[in-house]
Amino acid sequence: MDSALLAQIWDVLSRYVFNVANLQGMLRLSTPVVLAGLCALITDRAGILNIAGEGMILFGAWFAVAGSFFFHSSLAGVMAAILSGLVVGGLFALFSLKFRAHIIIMGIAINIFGNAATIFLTRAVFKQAGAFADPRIVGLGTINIPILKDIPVLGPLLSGYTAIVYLSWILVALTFVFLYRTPWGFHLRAVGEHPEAAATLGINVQAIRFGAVMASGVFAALAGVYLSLGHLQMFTEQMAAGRGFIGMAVNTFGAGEPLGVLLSSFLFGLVDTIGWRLQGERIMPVYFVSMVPYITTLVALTIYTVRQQRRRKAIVDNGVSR
Amino acid sequence: MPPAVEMLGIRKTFPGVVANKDVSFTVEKGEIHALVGENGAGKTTLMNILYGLHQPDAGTIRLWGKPVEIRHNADAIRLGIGMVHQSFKLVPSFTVAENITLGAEPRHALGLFVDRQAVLKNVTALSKRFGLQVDPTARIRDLPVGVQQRVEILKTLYRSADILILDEPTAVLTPQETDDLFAVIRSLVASGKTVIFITHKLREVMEISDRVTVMRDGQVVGTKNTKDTNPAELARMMVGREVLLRVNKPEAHPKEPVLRIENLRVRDDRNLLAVRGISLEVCAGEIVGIAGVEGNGQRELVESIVGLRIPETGKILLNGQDVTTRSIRDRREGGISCVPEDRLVRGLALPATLEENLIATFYFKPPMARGPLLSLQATGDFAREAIKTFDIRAVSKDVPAATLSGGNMQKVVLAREMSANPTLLIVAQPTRGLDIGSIEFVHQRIVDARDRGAAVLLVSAELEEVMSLSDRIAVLYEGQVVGTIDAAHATEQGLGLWMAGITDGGSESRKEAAHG
Amino acid sequence: MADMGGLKSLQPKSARRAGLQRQLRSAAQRSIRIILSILASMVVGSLIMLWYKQNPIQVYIWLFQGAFGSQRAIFISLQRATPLIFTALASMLAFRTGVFNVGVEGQFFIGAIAGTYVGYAFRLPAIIHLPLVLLVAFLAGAAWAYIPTIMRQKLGVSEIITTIMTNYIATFLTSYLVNYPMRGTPTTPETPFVQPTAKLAQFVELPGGLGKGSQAHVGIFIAIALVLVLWFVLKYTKIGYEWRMAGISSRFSQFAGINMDRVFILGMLVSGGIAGLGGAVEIIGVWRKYKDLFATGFGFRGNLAALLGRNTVFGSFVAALFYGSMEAGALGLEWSAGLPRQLIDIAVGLIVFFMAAEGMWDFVASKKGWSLSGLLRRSSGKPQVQGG
Repeated sequence: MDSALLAQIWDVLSRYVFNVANLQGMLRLSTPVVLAGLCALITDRAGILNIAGEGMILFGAWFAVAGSFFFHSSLAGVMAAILSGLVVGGLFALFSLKFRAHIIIMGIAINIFGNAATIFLTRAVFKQAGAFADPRIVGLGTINIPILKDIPVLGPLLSGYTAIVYLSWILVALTFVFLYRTPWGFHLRAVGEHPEAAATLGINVQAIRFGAVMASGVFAALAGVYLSLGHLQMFTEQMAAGRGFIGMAVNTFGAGEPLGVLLSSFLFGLVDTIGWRLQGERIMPVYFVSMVPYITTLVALTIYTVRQQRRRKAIVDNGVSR
Repeated sequence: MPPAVEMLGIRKTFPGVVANKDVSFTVEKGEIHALVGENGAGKTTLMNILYGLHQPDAGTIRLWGKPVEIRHNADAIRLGIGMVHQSFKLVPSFTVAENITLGAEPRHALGLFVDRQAVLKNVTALSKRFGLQVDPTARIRDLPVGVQQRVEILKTLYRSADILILDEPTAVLTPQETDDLFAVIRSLVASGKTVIFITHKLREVMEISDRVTVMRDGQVVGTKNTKDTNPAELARMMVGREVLLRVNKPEAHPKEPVLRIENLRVRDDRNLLAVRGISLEVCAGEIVGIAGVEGNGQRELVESIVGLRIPETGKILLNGQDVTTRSIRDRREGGISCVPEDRLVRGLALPATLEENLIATFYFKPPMARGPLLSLQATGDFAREAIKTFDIRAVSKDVPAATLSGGNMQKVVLAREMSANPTLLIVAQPTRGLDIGSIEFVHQRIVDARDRGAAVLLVSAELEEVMSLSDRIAVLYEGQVVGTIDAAHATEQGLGLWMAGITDGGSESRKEAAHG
Repeated sequence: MADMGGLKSLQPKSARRAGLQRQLRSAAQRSIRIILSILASMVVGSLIMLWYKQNPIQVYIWLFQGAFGSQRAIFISLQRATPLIFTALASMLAFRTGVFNVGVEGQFFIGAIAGTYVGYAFRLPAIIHLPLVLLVAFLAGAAWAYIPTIMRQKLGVSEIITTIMTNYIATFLTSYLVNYPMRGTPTTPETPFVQPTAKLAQFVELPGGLGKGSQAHVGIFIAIALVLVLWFVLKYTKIGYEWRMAGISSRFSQFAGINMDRVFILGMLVSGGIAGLGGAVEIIGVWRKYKDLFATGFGFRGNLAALLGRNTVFGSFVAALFYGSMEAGALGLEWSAGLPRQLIDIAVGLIVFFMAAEGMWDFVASKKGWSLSGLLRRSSGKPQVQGG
């Protein structure tokens, strides 16, 4: 290979990929996607098709701001968000699991509802339209880890983020431990793969599904916390911007594994950051940058499914090749 | 010593069907007891009741002489009953040990974590104790079916089952695996367990069981010591009927072959070979009946002829044309009609109206279609005509198919499929769940189709139906045709033996069936 | 249910009568459920109004007045309903064929901008121009729907995620187009005005001056025509039959020989086309130029309306009219009571919630010791059939 070409490639890589600022952006921007991915993951592993992530994120984001505003502490905001996640998740579970509503319709309804309700609440409670920002909202402070931050390359890379970023990584690890090391994780995976096997062994399938949906509500709510308290302290209409669905894609791409979700989210975060960089350098207009996460999702899903198809033989089912 | 299991006066009804009629069934401790019968005889229902999956409408159950209440399968497990079903209940991504201990995992650290060491240790000890070789760390989805079955057995032993129920265990095994299974069963019994073995394969009954109970039509026909009986007698008990419905049919005058199947091999949904090399011919003007207990490849055979399933190898020729990979519509246009086994899912769209169901194979051609448009006049006329001709009892052509009785539903399917004047008519399990009147009607129509020159392929698990309708009979066992015979020369015992896997080749039959 | 082999079953004639009774009962049950759902939603709405220190009854009166109380109100209702009719029909068609096309939002925008472009970039006689605008919008919407369609057919990717992704891409794509290549004015992100030959007349502009104070336009007639066309297609054409049967039972349709791939692709394309058509109609009827972010939520409200209308042509039409008039009423509410108009979205969302939760009503009924069959029995005075 031509050494000039190599030098060019290295130049591009070091500017866009192996670049501390970009990697920092990657870690930050991936956080809500990680949490949305865990939201999708926990219900997916329990065998539930959960498309309500978007609505649950919005509720979480709003209640985080509300909690922080009224109780003057970011912790209150987080608690309020988690509570909203449990409630919305609980209602979702109640309606679709117990009252047998069609789970996709419920998901669509929760997403529309989440959007409408948060806009309504912003106007009703804060008397603002479109967005609500206020100096009284307490955001999550950045955490500078004492010794770590002084290490040359790793330091700035791993220290100095808001608590929710670190929390998301911890939750990935905890999810792994839960799924693969605790009895309830075993039960949940069994329910997701073969509910009959679980039921005939005395496992309460319904209870597990309920728990999974409520947990997904909490994960989504935390994604909302990042969006509204973790970076800027404000709530904007529709601020989830599709991350609920990107979370589903990330879960697919990560094959339902916590580590896979984390790495896929990093990929997203990186592509997203590079996009913003390109916009900053005026190489790409902002609108195309904004499209990046969604196009990435489509491409990722395509690649993933193509590879899956190659492994499996085609089965004709209902006349539609899957 | 009181018997291990006594089921007395068991009665169980499902909507429209009496599955168990006053059944009494006793199993002694330490014996291998075979429970035998055709599909629908009621044996699986009876065992499901014992295992707590169904509640009987009447009757009592005693274990070790003491009456017990089994309301839920957790009760049955607690009482020491274990069941291995035909379709395994194993989590594919879990290891052997994880599946065995699921729901009862050993824990440590305040019960928060699974003690993975203990899981392995317990399972290894268990497998050694009962001589059931398994690799506890292997993942279920990577294991062959025979090993998976061993895991299911270990699952019951892990929960201290003393009474094991095995439902058609050899249906998915190779002959080698079947030998291994029998060795396992013998060793379990030697260590004090009691085994109930549901099967329709008489050869295996003779080989492994101590006593055998035959069921038929929801009742117990009799119980014998295995060494005091023989396959012929058992076959007679299995398939004999008090009333033989004979259809009055004129002699057949078969002409040229319409359907020719050459060396067909078809895989089922589990990717196992369900059809293992079938060659068959059906001529115009004759009814060929495929007899056999369900699950021996009939479903996959029919699906591949119709076009719902593509065979792995082999050819299907319709009037000389190769249709092996053609679309369903092409085959139908070429003259194939099918009354499917799965009436409620494939044969009908239950929420749709009768008219919508009836026109599904005609709507795109004149007279019902004029260009892109439908002629509601033509479709309505057709529907009304079909309802009249086939005597379908319904309020109107516009009611949902779901409101009809079983017999009338089948008439709708018949009406649609036969109105196409097919050259090849396939009917699968055509009278399942129907009343006497409807059965007669359906049989008559099938004969009419033959007399109008169609080639008819009849697939039925009802031996009597096959015998009375067919001109020629072929028996399917484990995916192959084990014998063909003119209906005039066929006997129930003979067919019953074939259906149970016993051909004139005697002890070779199981190994023969293995080829493929 | 266990397979019962050849065991004979005896179906008495009363079984058929029971079947019919079942059918009537379920139709009555459904109506009761719809009414109960609306009532429940109104109750929740009243609670919210009370929180706002408003008298719910007064608010409902204002709502009604805002929707139907004057000529102006009725026309505003029509105006708000027009785009919803398109998106509801688009959603309904997709849902009927068994697909969840949540990409109606994006298809709406793409159709809108494509139609706008043809509207301002060409000078043609009105006879050609207007139909051309509508045609291009339809094709653009269909093309936009093609992306998730092909991903599902060829790759097996669920259309739910892909359609949502195309929504976002469409939003940003149209924003880009309006801010750069198609920008008409230097100060605001808008396209130039469409040519007069590509406009849809508003009622105020017509002789008679109906609908003063609203921007209701003749696009409503296009919508109504579309309702009739769809009704006709579903009932009287081959493809309509195939769409219906595919949605009712795909396994049956496959067995009967229907080409499921073709049916599905056509369904999605037409669905996207209708959405795109709706977008263009809204532009050339109301705004006459594409403004960035001129509206959001038409697609999702269309989804809801189709669900409310139980996926039937006329049901979706009525639901869209209902939704539109509620929105008109809510606009007035913002003036009078200060209630944000999202209240309507919440209320309609709740109705859909309650309607979808079939088990909930059984649960409630069982708690109170009622049964719907008992209610019907008492109201009709007929003897009960055994085994219901």
